[in-house]
Amino acid sequence: MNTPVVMMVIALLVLLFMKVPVFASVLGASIVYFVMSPGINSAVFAQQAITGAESVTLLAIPFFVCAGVLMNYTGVTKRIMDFCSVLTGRMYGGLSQVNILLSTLMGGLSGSALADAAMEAKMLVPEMEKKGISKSFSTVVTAASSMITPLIPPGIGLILYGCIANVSIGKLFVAGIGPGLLLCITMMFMVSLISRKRKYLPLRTTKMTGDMFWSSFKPAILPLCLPIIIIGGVRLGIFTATEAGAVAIAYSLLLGILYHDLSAKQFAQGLQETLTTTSSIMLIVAAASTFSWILTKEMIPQQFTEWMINVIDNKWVFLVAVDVFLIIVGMFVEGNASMIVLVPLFAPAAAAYGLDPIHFAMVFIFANAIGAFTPPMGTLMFVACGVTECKTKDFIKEAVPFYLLLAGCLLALTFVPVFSTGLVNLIY
Amino acid sequence: SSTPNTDTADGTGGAGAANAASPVTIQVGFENTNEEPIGQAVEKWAELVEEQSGGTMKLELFANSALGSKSELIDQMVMGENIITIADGAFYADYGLPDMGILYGPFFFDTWEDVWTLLDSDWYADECEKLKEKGLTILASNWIYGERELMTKSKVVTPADIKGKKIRLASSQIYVEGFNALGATAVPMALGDVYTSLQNGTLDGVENPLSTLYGQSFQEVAKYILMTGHIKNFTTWCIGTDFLNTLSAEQQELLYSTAEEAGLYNNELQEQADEEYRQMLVDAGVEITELTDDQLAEWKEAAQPFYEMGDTFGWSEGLYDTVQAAMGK
Amino acid sequence: MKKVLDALVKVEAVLAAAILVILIACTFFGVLARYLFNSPFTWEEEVQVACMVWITFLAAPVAFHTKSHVAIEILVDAFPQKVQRVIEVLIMILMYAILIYFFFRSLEFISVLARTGRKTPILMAPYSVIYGVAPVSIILMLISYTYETVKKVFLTPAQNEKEEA
Ligand code: NA
Ligand code: NA
Repeated sequence: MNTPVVMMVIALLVLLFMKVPVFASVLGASIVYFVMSPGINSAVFAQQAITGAESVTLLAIPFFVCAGVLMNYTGVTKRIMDFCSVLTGRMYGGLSQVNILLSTLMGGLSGSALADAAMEAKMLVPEMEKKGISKSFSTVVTAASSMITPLIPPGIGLILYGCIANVSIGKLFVAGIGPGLLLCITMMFMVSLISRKRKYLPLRTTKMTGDMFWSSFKPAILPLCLPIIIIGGVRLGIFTATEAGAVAIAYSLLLGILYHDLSAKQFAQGLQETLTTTSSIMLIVAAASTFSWILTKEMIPQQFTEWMINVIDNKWVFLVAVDVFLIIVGMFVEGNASMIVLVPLFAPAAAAYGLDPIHFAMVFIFANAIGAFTPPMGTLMFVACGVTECKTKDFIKEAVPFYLLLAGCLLALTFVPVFSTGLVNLIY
Repeated sequence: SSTPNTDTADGTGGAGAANAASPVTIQVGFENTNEEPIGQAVEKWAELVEEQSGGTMKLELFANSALGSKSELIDQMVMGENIITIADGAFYADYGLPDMGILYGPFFFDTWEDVWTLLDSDWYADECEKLKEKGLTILASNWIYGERELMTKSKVVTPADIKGKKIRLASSQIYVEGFNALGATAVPMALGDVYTSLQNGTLDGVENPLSTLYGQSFQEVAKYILMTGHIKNFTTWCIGTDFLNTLSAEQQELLYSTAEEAGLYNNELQEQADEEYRQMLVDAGVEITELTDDQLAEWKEAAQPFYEMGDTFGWSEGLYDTVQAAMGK
Repeated sequence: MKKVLDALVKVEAVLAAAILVILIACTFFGVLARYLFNSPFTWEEEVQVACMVWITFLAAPVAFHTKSHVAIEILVDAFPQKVQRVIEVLIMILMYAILIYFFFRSLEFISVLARTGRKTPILMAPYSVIYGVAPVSIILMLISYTYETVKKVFLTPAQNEKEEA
């Protein structure tokens, strides 16, 4: 690494921790490089930072954000929640179980963990408290379970990763289901154990009758069809993974009309939310493409891969090193930003170790996501605590078993590739 | 300028000619993989440059579009960056040299000999000169990219057979209108989406050199190839004129001659590869059909409407005849 | 002044929303046109990509108002209020420097495109116009950013409340 590159990396860290917005920090760091490299035409800086937004694949981001937002406005979420209550009614933990299952099923409609956490913190946590579940536990369950949402297709992390590492997004969508379900089931099991001890009782003691099932399932059928439409449509080649987002929006509008639940004002509000979310992600993506242009030009990924292979000669050790590294980075850097900067470094190295690209993608995405749940820079934690007014201190204390669970799942994904690749091989 | 750039792995811009201490580095970006003939031939080119310059010049290779997309690279070259990239006439047509597009019309060339004759003509030299004024200089044009063939789900022999069939083409006006003129429905689509689209019938066919057709595993979902050779796809390497001018005359000469030499190596590899791919496709159960002279004439005839669309593409008056004449026809 | 700024944000938001609707419609109907009617929009990708660039940059100033731009707050927020205000001013200077640098570089880039006259392959739309949204948006970002920061750093909480109301 030469001086301009070193200075650039230092500038990035300084700017980030000075609370300069992430996109501006990345741009600022790149400016340092360009100013220190007089031989390079500085218009390239703007070229990369503008054309970086130009990606057909990333159209999926506004699409799936919009679809998720519209689902909340159309009452679809409420229908799915009622269905979850019936399914989990006899489990210890009551609404905590509903909370987890809802995140999993909503995963098929929404691509964003933050949106899911915000929505459930608002809708479910007050109800959970009324049933005697502590505020901190309710908040932790909400934040932890919302990590499932982006794993179940669609998910922004899956889309971003596929786009940067050039892995089929259709396959990644399918690959996310395994880890998503793994996290859902283990979390429900753990919450059940904790709840038994704390006497967080089930919602009901009676057995589920066929009647009960049907009357809650019927209103949820149409919304629950969306994930099937998405996976099926992509698999059959009717539309691409990107276009699936537009289809999802059309479908949620249709449901809104069907349920008479969506007003023009809400629609406008939904568009507004979509725009600001999209722009804040895409500006980081665009800024990062200047940054990664510099890394490529300086051949940093090649040097990094070479160095990595020299230091670590075993692919399992490499995977564990990646896990630890990403968790630490995730504690400080927002997930999308770290993904954009780090995938171009790690994906070629993983290929050099002969790792299956889908397997590595899932390990990377999962490890990268854990940081959102941990202090100091846990966006999920902040959003959930922000809505429920839970103290961060209480949150962290209550979250300990969940950190262990996440670490366990990560290890399982790391060492058992079939969790990630099994379903993909079955379907493709 | 004499920027004291101590840590130049980049040796860009002004650092150019006379600086013997650090080698002049030029970065070469292309879409192909390292394994394809193009990828191997570029490596050969880099070796030739290093050898013949005695280590004072160096090509750094970036396969798989790692350095950026073609249009991004070309903009950077115009801004004076030390970059070389691969591009062909269909691209230059969109770049403000509409006449170049005609070379990528369907059934324009009969043989590769026609191509080589044209590349030596004054007409082609004039086009290169125009491109130079737009900031891009072509280093070599003698690189065979491949002969484009037509692969379909149901058997096709005559132009009538593709009437209304959905054929995938790269998103370029020349390619799209070329197949529309033949009577097909041209579908511009990213190459990565073609496999599933062929499988479920969104597409009826695709056209590309055999190497690409095989590389994308299309033989699993489409079983017929018609050896149309409808485009004799030669390609070129170009460099930014401004950057080229920072090099000494010998260095410039060296780039031209080595590019040409590596091109010949590429063409040998392409020929071998074509044979191999043909065999592998046959082994995969693909039925390959050759055209008879009469059938070929029929296709050429069917392509004629394309060459009457000069207004759509902004061609010069009488371009078709001009270029045919330049080929000695 | 405040009214003018609010109106400006409103115009940007409406324009960006209109482009988002175009993007969604063009993609959805593109699927129908290709799958059901066998006549794909040859211009689809060009329009999609241009829409994406415009949305990213047009909504960027709006995102300052909705506080959607993420930043790492942990370190700065640990300092006492007074120090935080000083840092806010420092951040403001850095933001100005970064955005102004970006502005001039983007003008350079656009002028290169205007000179070469590169156009999209099918609709023949000049790239200088498509990318031209960037410098305009950077100016608007500077305005929005200044507006929000002044509100936050220099107005007292009471004044802020009045402003919000
Ligand atoms: Na999801
Ligand atoms: Na949840």
